[in-house]
Amino acid sequence: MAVSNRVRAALTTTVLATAATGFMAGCAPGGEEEEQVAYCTDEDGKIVDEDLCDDDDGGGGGGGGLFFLYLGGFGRGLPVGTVLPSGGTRINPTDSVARQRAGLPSSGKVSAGQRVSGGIGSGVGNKAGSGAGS
Amino acid sequence: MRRIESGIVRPGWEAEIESQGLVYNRTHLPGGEVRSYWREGPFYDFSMAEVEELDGAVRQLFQMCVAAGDHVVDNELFDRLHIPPMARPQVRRTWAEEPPSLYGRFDLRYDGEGPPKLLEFNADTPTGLVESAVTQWNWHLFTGQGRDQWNALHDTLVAAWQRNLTKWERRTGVRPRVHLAWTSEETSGEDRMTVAYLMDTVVQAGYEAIELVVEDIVLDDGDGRFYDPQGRHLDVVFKLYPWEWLIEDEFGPAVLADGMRPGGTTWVEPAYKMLWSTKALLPVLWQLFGSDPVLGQYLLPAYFADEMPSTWQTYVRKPLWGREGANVAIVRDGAVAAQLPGRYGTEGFVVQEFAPLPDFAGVDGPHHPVLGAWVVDGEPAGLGIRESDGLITDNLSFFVPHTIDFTPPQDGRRTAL
Repeated sequence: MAVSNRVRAALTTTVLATAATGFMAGCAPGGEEEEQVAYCTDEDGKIVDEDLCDDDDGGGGGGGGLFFLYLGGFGRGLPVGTVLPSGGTRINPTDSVARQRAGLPSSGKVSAGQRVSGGIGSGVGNKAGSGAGS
Repeated sequence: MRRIESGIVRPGWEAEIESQGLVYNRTHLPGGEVRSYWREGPFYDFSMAEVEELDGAVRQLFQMCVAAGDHVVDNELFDRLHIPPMARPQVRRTWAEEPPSLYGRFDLRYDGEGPPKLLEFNADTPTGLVESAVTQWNWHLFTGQGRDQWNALHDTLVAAWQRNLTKWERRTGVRPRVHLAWTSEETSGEDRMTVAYLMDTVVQAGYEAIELVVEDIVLDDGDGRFYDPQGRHLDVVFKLYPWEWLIEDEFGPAVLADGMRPGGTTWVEPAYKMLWSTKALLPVLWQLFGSDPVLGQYLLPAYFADEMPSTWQTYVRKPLWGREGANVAIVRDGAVAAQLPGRYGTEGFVVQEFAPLPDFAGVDGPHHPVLGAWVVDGEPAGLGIRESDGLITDNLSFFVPHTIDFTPPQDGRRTAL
C-alpha cells in the first residue's frame, strides 16, 4: 500500500493558492448572485406579450415591431407594460446560439420571467448557514 | 498511538496555512473570541503497524458498505432509509452502472488498543479535505516531524480523476469538461477552497476544470438539460452539495429526470451515495455483520430508534441526515446527558452504542480524537484527525496533524527542513 504521496515535496496547488489569495484579499465570489430572468420586451425595454418573442411564429409577430428577449436580475412576475431598467442583456429571439449562451432554451417561447437559474441552492437543508460538507 | 503535545510551532504558521488554502482557519465563537481551527504544535503519532491495521479496517468497512448497499437495493429498503420515491430510479441506476465516484470519509473511533470502530460514513460531501490533503502534508514536510504520514490523498485524487474520466470518455466518445460546484450560502471559504483544491487535481489529471456556484446552474426548459451561465453543457459536475438537499430544490426533479436520459449530466458523487451518507447505514451494517467474528469488531451496535432494544439505557442518538454533530444526543441511564442543537431529526433517528472517544489528555485538558479515514476511488488513501474537548465532535473541533514513527530530535540537533 502507498502510505503517502510518492513525491515528498510541497504540492502544486495553483488554483487553490490563487483562490486563497483572492479570498484573503476580500474578493467576492465570481458571478452574479441574483437570479437571472428573461422577459419579452420592445426596443424601450417595456415588457410585451411573450408571444411576440416566440420564434416559432415565423416572423416575430405583429406588424414590424422589434422585440427582444431581455435578460437581467429583474425579479419574477412583472406585468406587461413594465419598463425594465437598462443594464440587462438583449438577445434576438431568433438567435439560437445567443439564447443558449445566455442560458435560455435555444428556440420556442420564453415565458415571462422564466427562471433560468437559481433552482439549486435554495433547498430545505440549506438554511443552517454552515457549509454543505460533513 | 499517542499525542505529542509540544512539537514545533512554525513562525508565521497562521499566515502560512491561510496562504496555502486554509482561509477558514479562524473560527469566530459566539461571544467574540477568535480561535484557530488548526492546532499547531501538538500532533498524533502512529506506528506503521497501527496504520496497517487502520488501512485493513477501512478496506473491510468499504466492502461491508457495498454489501449493505446491495442489501438495501435488493430488498427495497428505501422507505426505511427515507429515500424519497422520486430519487429511487436514479439511486438504482447509478448503483448498477457505477458512474464516477471520487471519495468518502469514514469517521472512526480508535485508540491504538483495540480495533477501530465505525462512527459514521460521510460518503456524499465529506470536507476536511484541504486540511487532510494539503495543510498537514506541508506541515509534515516543513517541520520534518515523523518519518512519514498516512497521506496519499493528492496522488490518489489525481489518479481517481484520470481513471474515472478516461472511462467516461471511452463510454461516451466525448472528452468531458468538469464543472466543480459549491454553494454561495457557505461564506467562510471552506467550500470554495475545497472546490479550488479539487480543480487542481482535475487539471493535474489532464482535464479542464471550471468553477461554478450551484445557484448559477441553468436548467434549459426546452431540452431539460443543465448548463453553466456561459451556455456550456454540464457534462460532469462535482458538487459540494448533498443529494438530500438537491432533490428538495426546485430543479431536483429535473436533475433526476435528466440523469435517466442518455447524455444527461453526470453528478459526482453519484445518487447512490444516498445509500451510505445516512446514519441509517449503521443499523443495516449491524444487522448484516454485527455477529460476524471478524467484521463485527469494526462496528458498534446500532438500531433504528424505533427498534432500540428495550434494555438500552445508555446510548447515542443521531438524526439520519445530521452533520457536524447537530442534534446528536448522549443518553446515560435513560436521561439526556449531552446534546447539540440543530434542525435535523424529522427524518428519523438511529441509536448507537455509546463508545466514548478516547481521551489523549494534555496539560491543557481533554482531547478526544475522531479519525477521518479517507477512501478515494474505493481505496484507503489517508487520514485526517479532528479532536474536541467534549465527546461530540462538532464544528468547533480542531484539526490536528499526525505522523508515522515520530522520533524526537536528539539534543543539540534539529531535523533538517
